[in-house]
Amino acid sequence: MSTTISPSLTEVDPVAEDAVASSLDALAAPGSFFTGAERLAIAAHARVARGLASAAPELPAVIAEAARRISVDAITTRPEHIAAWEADGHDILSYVELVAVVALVTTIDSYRIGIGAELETLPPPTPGDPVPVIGEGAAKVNAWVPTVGIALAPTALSALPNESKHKAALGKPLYLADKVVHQYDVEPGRELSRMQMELVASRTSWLNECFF
Amino acid sequence: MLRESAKHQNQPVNVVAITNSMLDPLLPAGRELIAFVDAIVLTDFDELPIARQELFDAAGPGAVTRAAAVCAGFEGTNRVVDAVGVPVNKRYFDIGDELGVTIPEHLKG
Repeated sequence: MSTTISPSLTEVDPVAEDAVASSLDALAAPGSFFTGAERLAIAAHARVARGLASAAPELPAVIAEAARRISVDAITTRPEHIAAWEADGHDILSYVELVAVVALVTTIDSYRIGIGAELETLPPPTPGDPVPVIGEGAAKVNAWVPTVGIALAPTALSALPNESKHKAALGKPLYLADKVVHQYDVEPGRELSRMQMELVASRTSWLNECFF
Repeated sequence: MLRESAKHQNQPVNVVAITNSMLDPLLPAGRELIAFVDAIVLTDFDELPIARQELFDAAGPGAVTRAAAVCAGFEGTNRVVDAVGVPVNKRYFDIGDELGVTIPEHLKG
């Protein structure tokens, strides 16, 4: 792939830059079910699926396919995919971790693409074994995977609090804090107005065939 | 959200422009924002420099950065909600009709 680097057409957002750096660290660190190396391999497969990289480390087929599908075709996901994941011997919450990893690298990459910067080389993995950190009371409520309470966009990863925290830590500097999202008469003081940002969000979702 | 904000702020907006880029969303730099988002999401590296320049010309460098940031955030969120089956809130069914999009049965909850 190639991008035209246009730094003069953008403003550096130091808060976003810090959040991206922290997110890369989070990608490389052991999670609840995957090692840092496995998480980076999942991220690499997501990049390959988008045409942003040419190669990725080998992964078991069901994991590689899930990374590909969520990277470029998430709307085609059905409960049967998750059932197949479990039938292959994987914990359903490890699927949630994979989703979180793909979402994180996708967000980082799309931001970089947008501002015209080169994609970061994925960092080396942080050594260590995965340590499951599960949200208290996580159970299937209204989504296909367990959540803590009702599954909404902000709580979709809540069964894995660390993944939820990583996503929020990147998402808030890029867009808005959750508590402000629905305060429709509050202008958040960004470089775009609330309505301009919502136009961007809506168009993005429409292109992704997402109805959120 | 866009329609709600327009209502609360008493501002005109054409929400149908979300799904029909021939239409003007009636927001400052609206067309440029849509073209820029399209280039990012579709990873169209031919169109991207053009769209970025046009947004820069229309709204300045901060707008380019923020538009990229918001788009990127939703790129991640879209994948999460679709991959784990978060159902679409019923209150969005009407807007789906207005925009000419059909909420998939499997996400109606």
